[in-house]
Amino acid sequence: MSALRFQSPIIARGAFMFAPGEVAPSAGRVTVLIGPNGGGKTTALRAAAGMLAPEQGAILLDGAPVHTMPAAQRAARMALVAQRPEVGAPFSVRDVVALGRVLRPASPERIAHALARSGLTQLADRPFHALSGGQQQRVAVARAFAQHEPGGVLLLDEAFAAVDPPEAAALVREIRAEAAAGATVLAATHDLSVASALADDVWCIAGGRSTAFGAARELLTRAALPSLLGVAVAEAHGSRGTIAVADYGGILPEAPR
Amino acid sequence: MMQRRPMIGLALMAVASCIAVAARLLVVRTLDGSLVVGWPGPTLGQFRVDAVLVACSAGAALGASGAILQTLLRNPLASPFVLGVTSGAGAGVAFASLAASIAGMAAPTGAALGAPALAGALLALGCVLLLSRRHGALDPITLILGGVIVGAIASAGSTVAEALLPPERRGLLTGWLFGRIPEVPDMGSLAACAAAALGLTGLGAAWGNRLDGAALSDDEARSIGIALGPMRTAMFIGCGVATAATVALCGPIAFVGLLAPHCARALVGARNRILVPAAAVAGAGLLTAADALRQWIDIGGGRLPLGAVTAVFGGVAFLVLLRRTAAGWMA
Repeated sequence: MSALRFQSPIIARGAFMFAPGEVAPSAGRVTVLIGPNGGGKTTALRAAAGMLAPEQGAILLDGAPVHTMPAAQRAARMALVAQRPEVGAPFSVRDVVALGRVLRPASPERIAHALARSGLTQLADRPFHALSGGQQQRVAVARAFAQHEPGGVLLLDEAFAAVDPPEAAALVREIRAEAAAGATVLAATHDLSVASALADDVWCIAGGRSTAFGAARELLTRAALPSLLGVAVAEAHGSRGTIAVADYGGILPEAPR
Repeated sequence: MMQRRPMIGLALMAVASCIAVAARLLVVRTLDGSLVVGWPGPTLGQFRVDAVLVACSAGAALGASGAILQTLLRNPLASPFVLGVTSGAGAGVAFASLAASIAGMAAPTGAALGAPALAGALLALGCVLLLSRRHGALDPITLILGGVIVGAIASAGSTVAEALLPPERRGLLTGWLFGRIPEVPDMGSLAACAAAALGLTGLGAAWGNRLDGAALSDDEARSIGIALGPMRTAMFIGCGVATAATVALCGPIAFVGLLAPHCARALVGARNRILVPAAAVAGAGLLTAADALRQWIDIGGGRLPLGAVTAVFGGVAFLVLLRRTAAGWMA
């Protein structure tokens, strides 16, 4: 299993300073990154993927600094789904998913499996650019599934932001299955109901600093969330447990019991 | 099934290019205006063979570098000339003419313009690559803008140099800017261009999968294992040198480098492993066909300049392309 460790890295991006301190997302668990816009969620994920060089400290993958690791070696152990998937050539959905294995041998069955897990089997031969935003995000997740090896690291930056609830629920199940099989999953989201379904642990970042890290059942609550996110939170009873929901002030009348 | 279709497409493209070559070799318009089909014998035929070799080398180099650049710049409307080499070569030619005039030498023509064109093209390429470095790596958007800026400065330099020439020597640059397929090429330039075309096509095919990966956003491309910085540097230099070699041999030839990759993509798909060789074949075929067509169109005294043929057909095709891809690729 791969171990990902933020060892007090400091990354300055203009006026913004990312300095989260010591954080180590656990292997075999899903850690959900929450926090206000511009707080450093994407910086954390890009840094974890080796895209940013810390001025001090380090981000270690199995003990080695991730940003100096050769790209091919890193790709074998870690997959990233960026916030906005971009494909600058007229590729089919299958072509894009196969890029997850671009430097390593891949059987067509493996690509087909990755497509099926993201519910894209029917869309496999469509041009990527003919798809909706949510479908394109599912293609990016499927590419990460194709790339990912058991026990590796999966980094997801708002990977379901535009995905419809039924497909998002299916992706949540697949990602939890990866964690159960030993993956280290770090996923940023601003959707508390997605966070409730996905998270074993919660890492909250604001202003570039860690404001909380702990078990989801303690942090995704009506008591803890308002001070972390600055929004009122309601709790609902879901099919498998409690769900945290941002309370924007719903105006629906209470349903008769 | 997925593998067979691109191979059939490549075969079709090769056949079409062979037809263009045969047409250029066997059908010409004589001085009295009649079309003659046949082979004139080894001595006269050599001119046609040389012209075909030039057209195929230059077309292949332009096609391959167009395909690679469209992928690397993530832009269906990119062509080899975004690298600024054409304007740089033009400035080289203009300043060479000015230097010859000041030194009291005869105005340079034909193959004598190859060396200054190449020098100007490589100088402009160097400037564009230096300008487009950001955070230690080459940035596609900055590269496009850098190419525009260097091109504008080089064109301004050409205009100044042209204005300083004595009146009887002016107009040379305009003629050079049309592009031409020399029937008596400088063999060194031809060999350099052919080698550049073959080398670039081979490199593009060998690195085809990595090129595919580079079409993703920077972060995603790196995350799937592409060493984006070194690959971009190698590919931009390769495309720039190959384009400079064609400009030294033929002058600037419009649209072939833009259109050949699209013709190829329609037949073999977008995967670079096969797209780059297919675009090279398409470029060779298109340029040979344009040169053949130029021989057949009767405009009275002379023949159409090659650049006029590629510009007229290429311009129309470009408009169609713009309508089709503006909504398509980048979404």
